[in-house]
Amino acid sequence: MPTEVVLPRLYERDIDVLLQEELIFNEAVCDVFSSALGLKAPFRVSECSLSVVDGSGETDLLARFLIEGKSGVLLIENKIDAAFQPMQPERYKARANKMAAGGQAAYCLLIAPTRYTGGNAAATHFDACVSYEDVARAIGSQGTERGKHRASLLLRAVHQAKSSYIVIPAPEVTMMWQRIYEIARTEFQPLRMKAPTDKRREFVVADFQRKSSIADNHRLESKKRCRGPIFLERSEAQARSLF
Amino acid sequence: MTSGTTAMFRVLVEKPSKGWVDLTDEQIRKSLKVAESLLNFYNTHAQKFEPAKLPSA
Repeated sequence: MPTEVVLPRLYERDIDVLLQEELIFNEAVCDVFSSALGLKAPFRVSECSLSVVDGSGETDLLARFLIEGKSGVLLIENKIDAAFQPMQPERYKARANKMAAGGQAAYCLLIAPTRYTGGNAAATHFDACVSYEDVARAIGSQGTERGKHRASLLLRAVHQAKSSYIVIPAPEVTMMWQRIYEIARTEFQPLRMKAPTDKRREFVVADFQRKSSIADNHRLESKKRCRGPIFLERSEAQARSLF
Repeated sequence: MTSGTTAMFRVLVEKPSKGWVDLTDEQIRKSLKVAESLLNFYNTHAQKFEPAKLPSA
């Protein structure tokens, strides 16, 4: 008898982890990706890494696969609702082209809610787009309660993305965060601040990265609106700094 | 200062101007320095905050 589970809110990183597992262990999910790419045979993922960084940026999921005895690479960008960073799709494509130049098959894909990719011109830079909904359907098709639960998690993320706000970029705020990022990147490297995207007027969240060996979720964010640029709270650690 | 399982830090920094997007680079550096100190504090005391998530090595 299945237990009723209150579904948590999933963030992009949570979905990265879910996708990693599904790509490695769920053939039906692999088939969704191979169909989107128009491949003639199903592939199997042999290895899948998260947050792979190179000189041109970060790849959310980098999966190595085998198809008809040959190897290939998938570079997957996962988007719930955030806007692309400047030239981000183009950089994905360039990375895939660079890998393909080495003789292996390499594709870049975007996975996002259907609503995100529809009419999004930037999405055309990817070799294919896969929707959360199709992946959820593949996971749910296993027929197990666990599969249904995991499918529900993805669909809940879709619902939340639909109800999320739409960012109206404020150039002066975006520029401010670019200045903060440049100083943090060059002078405060241990903070590992993530490159900011377009920001709305009231944006007061600083996004830093922590060593994954200590904790997975390393977002430092404001709990309330404030005037200053930085109000930090590390909720997991319950350590706070207000300034 | 601690309250239950919460550790609180109070640091002195300049009050931001009304148009806070006009902060100077030096003001930004001061704030980031505080953030760095907080991170160092956390890393130093990670065992206390998150004993289950510490690396095994």
